[in-house]
Amino acid sequence: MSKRLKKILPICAVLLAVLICIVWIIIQKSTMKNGRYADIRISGVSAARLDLDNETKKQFHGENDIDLTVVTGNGCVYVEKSECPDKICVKTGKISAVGEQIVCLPARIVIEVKN
Amino acid sequence: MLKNRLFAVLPIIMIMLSGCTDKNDSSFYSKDVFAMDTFMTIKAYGENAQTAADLAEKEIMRLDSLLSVNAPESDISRINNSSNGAVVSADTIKIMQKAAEISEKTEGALDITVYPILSEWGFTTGKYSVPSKERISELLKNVDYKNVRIDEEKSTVYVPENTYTELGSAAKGYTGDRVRDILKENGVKSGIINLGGNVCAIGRKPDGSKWIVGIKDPDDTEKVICTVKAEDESVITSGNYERFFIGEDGHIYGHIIDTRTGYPVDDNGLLSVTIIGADGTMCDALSTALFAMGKERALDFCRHESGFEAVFVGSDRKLYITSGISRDVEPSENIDTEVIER
Repeated sequence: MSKRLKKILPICAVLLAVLICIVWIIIQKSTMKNGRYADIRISGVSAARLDLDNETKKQFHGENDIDLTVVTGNGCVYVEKSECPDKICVKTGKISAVGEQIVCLPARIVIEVKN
Repeated sequence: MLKNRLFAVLPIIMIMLSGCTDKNDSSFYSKDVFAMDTFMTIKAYGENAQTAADLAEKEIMRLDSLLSVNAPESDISRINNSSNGAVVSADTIKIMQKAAEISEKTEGALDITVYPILSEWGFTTGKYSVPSKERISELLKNVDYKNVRIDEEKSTVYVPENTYTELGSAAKGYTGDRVRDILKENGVKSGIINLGGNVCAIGRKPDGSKWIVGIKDPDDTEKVICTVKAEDESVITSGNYERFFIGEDGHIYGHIIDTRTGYPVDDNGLLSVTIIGADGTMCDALSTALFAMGKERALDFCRHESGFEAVFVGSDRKLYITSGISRDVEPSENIDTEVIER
């Protein structure tokens, strides 16, 4: 192997490693999509994590025997049905931004968008 | 040779480092609390954050039992049901003294004896109705904060027959102060507490910037009408836009009562009042009082008093901001502001 090649090869190896890292990070971030999910908590304990981009409909049983039907999809989450008296959780509508919450006080269920 | 080995190891280290995308902060802890008929969150940063938040939750539950108007053994129930005074906790004494101070300064705009009127309108039960004028007049006879006698030495509170107290106008503010104290005592230097909309900021955010608290737009509560930067202080808002009912006459009746008339405050130039200050109990009580006073009296009060800052949302959709905080308030687009000079 020529002297020049011996000098260049290690540098090429480092550059190739850097390129692989960059490509890997890009692939990782793109497969995470935007990373948002709905954290469903009942009386402060996390009961489920639902990807906002997956279409799901799930029922949760909260305090005071109250059932809530939670729907996710198209990047948002909302309460479709609730057995609570005031239905404030239903009236809150769809949420999608990180930090937004839907709270059902009687059922002690909190739905929070997280990243 | 060594240089070659370094070059071989370096890429491996870089690949490993690029995998470190976990952004979890092990010193951050968040807790949900359901108490005082509302939802609360405690978010704390620090090595002891979880322990501190757990202790804070216990304190919230203790104060909820103490200050509840419905629990038979609470301080408030025992005061209301006793004919010759009730021995109460130091917490209840402190809140009542602060409320009395605000009542005095605002000429009775805040009155902790207004509970029977609140009940008559249905704001305590959810069974809303418009009482008759005669019934309001009858109940108003027993509404007077001056009838509440506090004996601090004996830790006793006396109220005459047919007078009923409740501390809904200041209890959450006091609770925020206690939670803040407990978190700080346990080493938390950065945190944010939200007690059903009452916000208490501890220190600054971990990045060194002030906490940013949004004030809801009373006409569209899904939006924010402005933000306030806060550090080591409470930000507490009062208004009629969240607790109200629509009567059979089509009129909107809010839960903040004008203690002079026994009727809900109406058309007084204000949509909401936000008070910012280090004393959460005072902020809570004052926000209710100033909302009840109406725009002109409230603005005048602010020009002559100190120890707090204020943001008023007027019925004219304008923000009135005290001069001490004007630099920390960021209005939303197309919202006019006016600075209240002291």
